[in-house]
Amino acid sequence: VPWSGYINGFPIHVDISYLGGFLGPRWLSTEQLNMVMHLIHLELVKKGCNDVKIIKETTMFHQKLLEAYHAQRTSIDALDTYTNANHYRWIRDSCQALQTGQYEQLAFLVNLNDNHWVSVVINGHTDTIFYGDSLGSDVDPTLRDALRWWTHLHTGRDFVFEELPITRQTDGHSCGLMACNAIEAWVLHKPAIYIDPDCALEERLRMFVRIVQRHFEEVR
Amino acid sequence: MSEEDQHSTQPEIKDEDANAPINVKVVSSTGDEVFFKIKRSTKLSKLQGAYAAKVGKDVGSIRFLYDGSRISETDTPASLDMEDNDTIDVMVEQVGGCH
Repeated sequence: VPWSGYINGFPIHVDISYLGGFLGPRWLSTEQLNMVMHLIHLELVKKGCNDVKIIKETTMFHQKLLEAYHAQRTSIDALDTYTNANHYRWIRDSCQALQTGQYEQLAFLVNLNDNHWVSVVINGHTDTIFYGDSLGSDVDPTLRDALRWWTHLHTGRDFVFEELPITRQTDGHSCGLMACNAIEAWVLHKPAIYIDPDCALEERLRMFVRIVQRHFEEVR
Repeated sequence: MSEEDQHSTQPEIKDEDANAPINVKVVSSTGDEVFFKIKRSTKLSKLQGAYAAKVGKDVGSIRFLYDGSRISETDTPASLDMEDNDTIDVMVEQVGGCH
């Protein structure tokens, strides 16, 4: 692996220094988790699972969703803006893909308070929102209300929340890894891959290797 | 105007449109808006630098998205098929681990 340059094989050119985050007990960032989520997307493609959508720019997605939710609560015109404005199109299209049956599930990560990653999988077939928190906390109230508003707006149905199986973290740095792992195990129907909380550092190394392998697949 | 004249002016109109400036709104996740006028052929990296300078942040710490996709260094309004009064979303990179 070179000391400088970009990581290849992912939708976004990320500086290679970001790989370092996987080599120790560090907090993971948007860029790093976007790469992990892209690997999950590639696994789904490889297995022909085209009924699950891994949201691209996954960690930015919920910020835009919350923006729309807060706006419609404070402005009469905001719902029209959400319905018509180009800059909400990618948010609208995602839920409409559930509503039309193009996808059965949407999966994405959410960052809470700029210090904690949780996972969300929305199933449009069962009208269920699966929420996985490696700390075992209840659904964040604002996120809960925003997701209920959004799913109801597009489908006309009331979605219920259920717990997404996820490994409980026993350290202060593995929530991002656990959140991605929970999504991967769920959408690929692979319960065997849930991380052993005592082996979180080994899992980071495994993720590092997967990203580097993907990098070299593209370079060669 | 003769038919021949009409044909001869059409390419000029297209060229003018390609270089005509468009208005672009850059919106942060907190709803703050900054407006730019930019030629359709100008790289958006120039706009990104100007935005970062305006808000007093390092351009490397900000992520710019158009229609849900990250804007790359070589993208221009023309390459992204942007329209007048379109919006670019600005997102800040987030971290998590949870102590």
